[in-house]
Amino acid sequence: MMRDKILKIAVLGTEKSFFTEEDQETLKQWQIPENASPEQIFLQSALIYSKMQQAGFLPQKLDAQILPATPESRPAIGAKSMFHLGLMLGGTHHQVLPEFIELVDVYQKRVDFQFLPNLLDWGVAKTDIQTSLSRILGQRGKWLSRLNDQWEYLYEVLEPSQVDWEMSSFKERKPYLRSLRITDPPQATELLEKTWDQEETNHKVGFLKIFAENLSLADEPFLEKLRTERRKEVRALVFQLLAKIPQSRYNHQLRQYLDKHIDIQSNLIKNAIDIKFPHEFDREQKDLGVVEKSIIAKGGQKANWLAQIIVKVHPDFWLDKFQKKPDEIVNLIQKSEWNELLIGTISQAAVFHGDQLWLSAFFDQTHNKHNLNLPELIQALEETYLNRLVEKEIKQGVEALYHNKTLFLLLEYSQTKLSDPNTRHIIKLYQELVRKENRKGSYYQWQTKNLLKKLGLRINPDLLPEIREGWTENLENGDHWFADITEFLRLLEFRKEVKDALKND
Amino acid sequence: MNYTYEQVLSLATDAGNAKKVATKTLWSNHGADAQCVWGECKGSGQKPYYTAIDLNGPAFKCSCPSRQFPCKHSIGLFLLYVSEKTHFTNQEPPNWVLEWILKRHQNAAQKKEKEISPEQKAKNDADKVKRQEKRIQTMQSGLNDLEVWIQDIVRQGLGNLRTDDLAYWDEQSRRMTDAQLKGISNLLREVQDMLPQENWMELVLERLAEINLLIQVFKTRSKLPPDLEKDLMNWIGVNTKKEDIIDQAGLKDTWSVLSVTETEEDLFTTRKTWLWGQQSQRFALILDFYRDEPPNLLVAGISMKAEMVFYPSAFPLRALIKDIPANHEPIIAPLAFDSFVEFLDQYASDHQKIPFHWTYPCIIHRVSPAEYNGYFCLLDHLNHQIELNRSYTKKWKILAISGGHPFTIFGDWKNYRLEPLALFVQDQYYDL
Repeated sequence: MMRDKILKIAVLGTEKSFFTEEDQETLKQWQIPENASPEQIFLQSALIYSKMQQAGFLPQKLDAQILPATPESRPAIGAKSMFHLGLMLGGTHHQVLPEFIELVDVYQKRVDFQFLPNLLDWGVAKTDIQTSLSRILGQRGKWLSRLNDQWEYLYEVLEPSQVDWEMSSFKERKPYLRSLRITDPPQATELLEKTWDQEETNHKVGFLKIFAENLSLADEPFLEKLRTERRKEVRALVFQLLAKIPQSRYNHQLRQYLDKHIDIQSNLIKNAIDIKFPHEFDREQKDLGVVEKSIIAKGGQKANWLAQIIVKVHPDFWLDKFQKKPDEIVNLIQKSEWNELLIGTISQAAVFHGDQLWLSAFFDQTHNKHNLNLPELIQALEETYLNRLVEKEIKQGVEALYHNKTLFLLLEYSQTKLSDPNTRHIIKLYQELVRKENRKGSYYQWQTKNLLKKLGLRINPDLLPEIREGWTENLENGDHWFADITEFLRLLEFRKEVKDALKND
Repeated sequence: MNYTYEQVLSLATDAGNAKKVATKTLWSNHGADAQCVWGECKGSGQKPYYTAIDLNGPAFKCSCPSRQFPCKHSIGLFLLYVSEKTHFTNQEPPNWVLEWILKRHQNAAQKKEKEISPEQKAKNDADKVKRQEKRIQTMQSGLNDLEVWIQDIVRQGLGNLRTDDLAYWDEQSRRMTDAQLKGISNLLREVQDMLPQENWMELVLERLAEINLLIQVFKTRSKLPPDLEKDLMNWIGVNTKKEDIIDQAGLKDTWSVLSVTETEEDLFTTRKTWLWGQQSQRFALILDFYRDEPPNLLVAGISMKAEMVFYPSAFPLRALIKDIPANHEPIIAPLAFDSFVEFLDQYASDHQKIPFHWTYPCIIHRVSPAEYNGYFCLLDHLNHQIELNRSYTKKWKILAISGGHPFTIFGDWKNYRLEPLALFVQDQYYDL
């Protein structure tokens, strides 16, 4: 009552509004002097009212507790590892964080609670590390992620619980479908078929991406039905999945189409490649998922229609065509008049199917590498194949480390670990380069120096004692290489400390 | 006492760069004994930076040209020390460290011994009285103008005020600074933070009514009890000087450092340190205002035996510490109220001592996190809601550390809302 009166006078001002006769008793009880000015009476009343409110404040009773987190099953990392984690989250050697997370998982530990918000924030954009991250955040991390929409990504990698497929959200169904895809693939297909027509386009894409895991001929009937889907992004994904099933009808159709349009004429001296480009965009191409206006390779529109088919067909198709080995075929193609089209598209097919023999052949045999998407090609190389190529290139000597040389490119674009013998050889090459180029004022390879920073993350830190030797002879602060080598060794040292601390916790 | 990594980090002005310097390979000739830590840090130049830490304080020295204090080398060395003590095997401090420590102790001793002659003291006192009289005149004149200004607002109504006109309040705040009424000036400046809030009119009215009370009481201040008069003068901006109370006998106790927060305003940083005495069961608040170098570098999460001198007040809270000892102990959780209502009873009772509690320590046992109407809040064990400041940003840290389980919360109670500053989970302390 009095609150409303005070607020009314406050809004209108004492000139236009004031206490009435019935308020006098209250003002008397509050000992407000009667003979004071209206402004004084009002201000003193407002103050007494507010102080009474403060002193007599009664809190509201609620039933809104957040259900607490369940107990942890993994032990927390030790004090030293906490120190390392604090450093990385603060920006020091932050590039080592993914490796740290993997190691915490390997040693079956979890991070301390206080780091959870920062780690969950950090993980938002790191899709490749989210599975390991979900394991090291413990029960507390999973519990916390459910309270913040920004950390929703963790739902997708959490162990899913069974859901009511027709009633649950996309967010809840996706992890469930992923787990079914591993344990009971027919059931996964059956569920998805049931609601397929009602799903939104982006949900369809999300669900289909899960089908890339455990793909088999058993998925063909379902995928075949989707070849005529209305939205092109869904169709594109369906064609990709079908192309990855070697015995699928779609794959057979693709090969038939190529057979019709590409002919290899062999004679004793050389192989000639005869390509008959389609004259117009027709129904057959459309049924095979070719997009009329899409440009994916060098050449005109007709070449691009054909290119869209070549990139989906496994490169082994060419073994039958040429009756030769991959490296010989690559060699022949690059001498042909269709060099630009075929090198670019068949190498993309090798990346698409992850075929290591073909990838190695392209990298090894292609002299003019301009037609290759090198980063994609090198990143698709598995550790053994990459190290095999590296081993070969090391033999070229110190200049192999120069910018745009094959070894440089392999080291620059690859993200896999380097073998210990290769590491030792590369470090020796670097030490030779440093001795050669450390004379002040002489030209030096800055790209090769930058590469050293990347190598610091990809070589085995246990080699540190031997790697440390042989660098700093006659090398002083201020020399070209000094800062880079120091930084490289510091990074390795940090990685070794991180590894040892987690191991010995 | 071992400092923790987080405690050291809380001293940093540039934590990111300090962490980068906390790397073994950058340091040489480093070592530590019971009192100090030292080392030489590789920089961009030919000569290393010489860095030392006196753990008695702590205090820092570094030969780098940085204007930040403590610099990144000092904090970096400290971080390295607290995380890898075994790396500091050398126990013989070099001469430059010994000289610095010796000088620090000599300076402290000289400060204590400094005395002035009786004649000089009489002259100083007379000058002081003259200065005070002049200041009172200036203040009275400023308060008269302010009284008219407030009455005009009230006469015309708060409905005529524009909530986006910050300059209106800023200008009056500046006038009060000119009239040597810094306390009133701050109270007016805070109105700018109230204007964007939903209930701004109630908050602004309350603030104007509070200032009006200060103006009215100032006219009859001689009738106030001495301690309350000191409070009044403090609220309007006449602060008791450290030198006037430092020699008084203080309260010896084991003091837990509950929180240290810093806010920057204009050219000054305000450092607010909350402590709690384990035997006396009293709170103490150390307020420091500094431009370059903080006068104390107490870190949150420790306890220590120390003597605290309280500023004169009818409700003594603000204090200063006589000497910061080198030996620290792990923090002990203070006695907390068992429920929010118990805390509010104490808060109401303390209103009888002084009318204003601009800052008031709050510690409650067994609270849990909750969400109501989209806002994060806390509930005590009787399910009573403790609202937090709407702008509070550490919600996720509280949730992560507590996991939704009950904990003890410490914070600053203001305008019916709590600003959490620290929490205890099963006696484990966490700074927020």
